Amino acid sequence: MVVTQVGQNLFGIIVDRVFDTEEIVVKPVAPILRHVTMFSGNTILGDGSVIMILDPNGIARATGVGAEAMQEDRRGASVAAATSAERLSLLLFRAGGGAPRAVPLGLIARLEDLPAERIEMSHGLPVVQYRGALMPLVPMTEGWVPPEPGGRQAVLVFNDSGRAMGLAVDEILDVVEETLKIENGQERPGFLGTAVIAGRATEVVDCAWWLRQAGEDWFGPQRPASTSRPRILVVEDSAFFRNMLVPALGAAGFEVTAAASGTQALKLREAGESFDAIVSDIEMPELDGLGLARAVRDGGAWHDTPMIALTSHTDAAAVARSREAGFADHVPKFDRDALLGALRGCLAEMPAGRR
Amino acid sequence: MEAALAHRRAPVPAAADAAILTLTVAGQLCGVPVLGVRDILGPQAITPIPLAPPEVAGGLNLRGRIVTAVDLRRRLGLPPRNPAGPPPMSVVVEGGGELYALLADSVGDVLALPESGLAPNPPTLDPLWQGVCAGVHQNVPDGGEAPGRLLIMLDVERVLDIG
Repeated sequence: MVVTQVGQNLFGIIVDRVFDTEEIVVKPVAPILRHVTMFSGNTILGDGSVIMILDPNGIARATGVGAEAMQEDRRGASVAAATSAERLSLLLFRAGGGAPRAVPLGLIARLEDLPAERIEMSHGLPVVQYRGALMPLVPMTEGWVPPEPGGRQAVLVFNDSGRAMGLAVDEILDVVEETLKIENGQERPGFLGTAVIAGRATEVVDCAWWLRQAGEDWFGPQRPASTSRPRILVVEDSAFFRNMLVPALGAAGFEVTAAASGTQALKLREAGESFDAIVSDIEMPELDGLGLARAVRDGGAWHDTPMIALTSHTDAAAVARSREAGFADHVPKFDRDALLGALRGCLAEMPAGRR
Repeated sequence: MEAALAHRRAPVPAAADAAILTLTVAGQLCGVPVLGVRDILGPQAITPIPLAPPEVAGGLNLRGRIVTAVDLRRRLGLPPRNPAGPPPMSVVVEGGGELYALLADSVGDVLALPESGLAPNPPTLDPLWQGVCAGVHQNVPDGGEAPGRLLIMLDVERVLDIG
């Protein structure tokens, strides 16, 4: 099943098999096929074969999911901003005794059920040969032992620029969509706190902490576990990019609030919210990123909050315009590493004591 | 393409002759003007396109260009090809700036036929064929002792007017 999102609607496309991912250039289909709206184009793969490229928008329209959702997305702009602590797809699993545990589904690359034979030991640590590389397995429970021969191990696979890490858990329970409201209990490394999910007290896992247990420097310089997470406001009108940025920044150790427009962001200012940095798209309906930056710099509670522009235009004139409007930095929309670098840069410049 | 056609025994067409590439579709001799032919290909890997009109066999890769393949049997309402039989040949033509491959059972000689010999479509011709034929040539030599055959000239533009 391939899960896609059009507007605010998630829907699944049932396929027989998933092969691989490939970077492609989409070419338009021949005019005699233009009426087939389920394809956005076609292309030639590395092996020379021709493939058709499905258009989730066209499929959504054909099944009646589409157009309405788009409008709703626009209307959604008047509703209060959704913070990362709100409606999310959560994976519920069990690891060790006690309460079930949850992790945002968006952070997980794949779920695996590995046979015991696949788990090998290297320097006393479990590893798995996974997609042509060695993937460290991080057990979630203390005193973990590999499954008996013939047994299986449930693994949540996290992926980041080609590196994979597996979190070994006892059992995968369910995927639920819930309003995640974390009650901060006692500080426990590896957990963000407890939330009521599917009617049960559930421990919400701090992915960034567990990823660091893989021994690799996953998200750049490590922050002391005791520092409170810097608060970031993400202003982005595309639901797709919001959904991509919020978990990515969350996993990198930020507390993320998302707003769908500049107007919505300013409402948060009026509501007395404060942030350590603002990441904003430039092109947005209503109040765009430049307008937002001017409004922020104009005075008010956020006038010295650093702002980073996300944009697809990186020419000198565009950079000059956004600097003039008040952005401290300027990063391409798809470059997560550049964004994390820029965020760290402007947070480091901030006077100590503010965090 | 030159190489593919060089060995053909085609006489150099005279001024009033039209060079016609002959092809066979379910036993029927058809022709297309050579000048409109961009390439002739042997059996190709063709990717089927779901939801496409039934005449569209799929897409194929011609040296990095995506070419839409049109099955002439289906386009002309002829019985489907025997899947166990020899694979079809592709005659690549251009239509509206795009390349299309016409799938024929076999590709024959290039003939120089006098333009004056092109007769209008016989009124008895099937209405579906009326729409895609640009006239007929009678008594086309078959290369053997057999009596001349009827050759149907395909109007490429109209063959590609699908859907």
